[in-house]
Amino acid sequence: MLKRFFVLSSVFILLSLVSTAHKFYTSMTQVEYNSKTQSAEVIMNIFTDDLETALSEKFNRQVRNSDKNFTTLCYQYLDTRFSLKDAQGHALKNEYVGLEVNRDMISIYLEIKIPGGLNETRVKQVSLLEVFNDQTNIVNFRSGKNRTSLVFRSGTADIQTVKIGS
Amino acid sequence: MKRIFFFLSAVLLPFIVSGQNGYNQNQFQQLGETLPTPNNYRTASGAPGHEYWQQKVNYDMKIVLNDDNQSISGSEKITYINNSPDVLPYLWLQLDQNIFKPGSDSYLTETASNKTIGKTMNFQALENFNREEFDGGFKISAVRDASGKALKYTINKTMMRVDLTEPLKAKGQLAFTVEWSFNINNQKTHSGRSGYEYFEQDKNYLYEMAQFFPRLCVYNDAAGWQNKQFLGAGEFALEFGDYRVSITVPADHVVAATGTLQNPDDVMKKSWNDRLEKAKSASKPVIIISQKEAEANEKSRSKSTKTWVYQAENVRDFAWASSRKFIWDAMNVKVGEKNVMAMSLYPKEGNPLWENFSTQAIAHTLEVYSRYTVNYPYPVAWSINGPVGGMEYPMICFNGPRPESDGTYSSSTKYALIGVVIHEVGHNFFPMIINSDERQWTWMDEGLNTFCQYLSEQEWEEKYPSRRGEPRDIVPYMSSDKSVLDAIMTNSESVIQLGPNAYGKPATALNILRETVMGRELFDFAFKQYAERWAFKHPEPADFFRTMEDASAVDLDWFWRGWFYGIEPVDLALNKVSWYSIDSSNPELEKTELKSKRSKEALSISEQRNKSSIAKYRIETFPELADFYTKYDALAITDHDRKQYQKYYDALDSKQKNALQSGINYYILDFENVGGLVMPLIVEMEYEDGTKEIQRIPAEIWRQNNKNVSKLFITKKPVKQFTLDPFQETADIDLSNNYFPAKTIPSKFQLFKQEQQKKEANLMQLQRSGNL
Repeated sequence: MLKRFFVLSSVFILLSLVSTAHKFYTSMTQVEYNSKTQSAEVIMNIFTDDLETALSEKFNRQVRNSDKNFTTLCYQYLDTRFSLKDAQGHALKNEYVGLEVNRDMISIYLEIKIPGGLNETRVKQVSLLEVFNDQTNIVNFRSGKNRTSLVFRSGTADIQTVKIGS
Repeated sequence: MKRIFFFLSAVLLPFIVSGQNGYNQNQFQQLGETLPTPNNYRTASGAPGHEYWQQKVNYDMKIVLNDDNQSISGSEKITYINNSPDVLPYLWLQLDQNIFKPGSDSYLTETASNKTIGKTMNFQALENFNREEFDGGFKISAVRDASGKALKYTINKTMMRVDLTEPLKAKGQLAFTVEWSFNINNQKTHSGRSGYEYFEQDKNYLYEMAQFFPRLCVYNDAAGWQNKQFLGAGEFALEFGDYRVSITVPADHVVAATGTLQNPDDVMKKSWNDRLEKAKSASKPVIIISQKEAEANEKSRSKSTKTWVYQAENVRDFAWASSRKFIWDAMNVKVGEKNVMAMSLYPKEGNPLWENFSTQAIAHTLEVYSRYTVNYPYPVAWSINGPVGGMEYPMICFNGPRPESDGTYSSSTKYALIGVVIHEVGHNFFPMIINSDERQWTWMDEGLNTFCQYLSEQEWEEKYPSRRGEPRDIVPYMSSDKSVLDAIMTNSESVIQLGPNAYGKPATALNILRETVMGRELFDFAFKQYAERWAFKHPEPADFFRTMEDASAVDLDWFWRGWFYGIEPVDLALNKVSWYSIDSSNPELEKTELKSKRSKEALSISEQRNKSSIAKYRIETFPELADFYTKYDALAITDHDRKQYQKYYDALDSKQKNALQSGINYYILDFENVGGLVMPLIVEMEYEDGTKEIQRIPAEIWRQNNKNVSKLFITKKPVKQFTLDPFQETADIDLSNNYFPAKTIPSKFQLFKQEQQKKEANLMQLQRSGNL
């Protein structure tokens, strides 16, 4: 069985959770610290149909990745679901670079200025958690040679702190 | 630049540094203690043993579909043939529909979301509550023995034990009957691996039916009764057998099923039969039921019924699809000496995507997979479009992708369809023919199948955008923290990320095994050997691991240990390169070079400052302090030097003289295994003249020290750049430590930022609206 190729027929018909045929609700986000530009470079990989479902629910109409304003909706949505705060608790701005659709995945590229580095950064990655009970968001951080991961799923804290050397 | 002496023959061997801190931690420790002990059923070579046995279960079924209330009722006569050496007092049957029973374990063991309760209840939470109201699950009305006497049975969730009046003797067989009914789940709201879809516009139903009958569990030497409960993720373990199934549906429905249709004249229009006859020799898809005919048919509401009779030999399961809405196309595929019908059924909502690609993708799959495994043994292969996203059964599979309602589709939808058809048709080989236990090991069918899917996709068109298979695509998963990773050898239901774990990682591992570790020739032979040995049998993981070694003479225990039993990633580093060249002993060359080197050495900070701060040295004030040593130049070339050299040179033989003049370079490269997973070293050397050379060193270089190794490379030309894993074939998660001299490589992020790629929209739509 393959990961769902699920076509939404209306906003009100959403995937449910027994989900025998559709089990993999996973997004994977790579956050790499670029010390030259002092920013976190983020690539978020998310299943296209899941994101469409979330956007459809948020904006209360059927949203497809081929829609003209899809990118805008996507950024609006992510601004509420994915964010970083620096070690002092200051909110940081998501600067979106672009997105690309690659078969059933969408990769969203964004940059976040964070001069103090990744350590002790507070991260929120609750994308899709409001839509799918089984959703798991994995965020991999890399700063120089150091790596760590955070996991966001039902039951975990919405905001978690990165512990990583520099 | 360091120097070493000329007569160095010992350095031609690799340097192996330092020892090991314990035998058991060595990656090259043999797997023998981990794998089950070989026996008469399964040999140490990975083949079925001389006493290998398996059960056979035949089904004779009568099924009635009620289109008015979306339910089915059925009766089956099961013939159980006990080929085991064991006496069986009871039999276990699977009742998969019971996961739709209110209060099923599948529902109960869902982990709750904190979003489910509270003010902001979402649609899915709502749907979950509705789902609880659905009256799903098997309603068993009778279980009787051959004489019609009721048999005692006990239902434990998704499993049913039937107690036999007399224990079934070894090599004996018995027949019994089961009668049942159940309400069919709406797949779009209740999900599931089968179910119906309702089309609001024309008020029709489309059924994709599977797990619709009580099925025997596997009983074998490896698992005993495989009656592990069905929770939803772990698929199935099933016995082979022969099926005869009569399916009664509204007279205007078209039915596809596992097997061959026995009564085409009773159920099909003559014109369809005639076209089907033509399709039997067609090398391209032929339309059997056109879209126009299907659209007319979906307006019909027949009150009478027809019974489609399908028969299948030596299959492990049975599934079917039924609707008024179906368009049908078919073509012939030649597999070996046999002709196979590749056929697709789809509603108009699937067009034009489906008529363009589905049947061709079936044909392509059968051809490619047959080459790498065994010839496709069945007479037909169906691909059906309906509510299910992608699910496989013998000879038939259900695939979801559809175009937009205006008939356009994005390229991602197109490749989603081709990919899912290849994948689900490919499942005919793994696990329908090479019949592994899916409930226990997802990777044995999904991993092997995804690997073959990758091979097939790459033969569809150049640069086909395969999602899984390329080593670089598994890197994000492999670089995750260990807390979110499971070994491939983890039970299906317990895996955290089933997609990358059971599909992506094993498929990539096999691709690496084929391209980088074993080579295509050895791999392909061994992989085919595994398929041939276990076709129509029940293989276990050890049978695969052992066969791949048995047929290739490649010790792969380290590979299985690292990729299948471990969670460590590949991160190999090229830490240091030391350059040695030959000492010519010629004072003209050596002393001159040393002199020039000395003159280039930077002055220390004190030396620089002293130059201006010391007005006069003492030796200048008192010249008598200067003596022989003050004037002696150690690097001056003397006659004595020249004589000595001539003497040395004359003593060399011609071979040595040639070597001396060749200017050979010796490089010692220090490698570190940062990630933990040992892999071959692939080293590219780019010479100063721009030419390149690759050296491939087997993983066994790490056999005595899994952490650090050094290796000598000898080149005629000086090397400008060393690159480790230049083609990214090992899934190395960190390429920044793969270069010497170190190189900054732009990240994927930086590349994207530079390109500022436009998102890939539905280009067909843009073209139609004149915006392209």
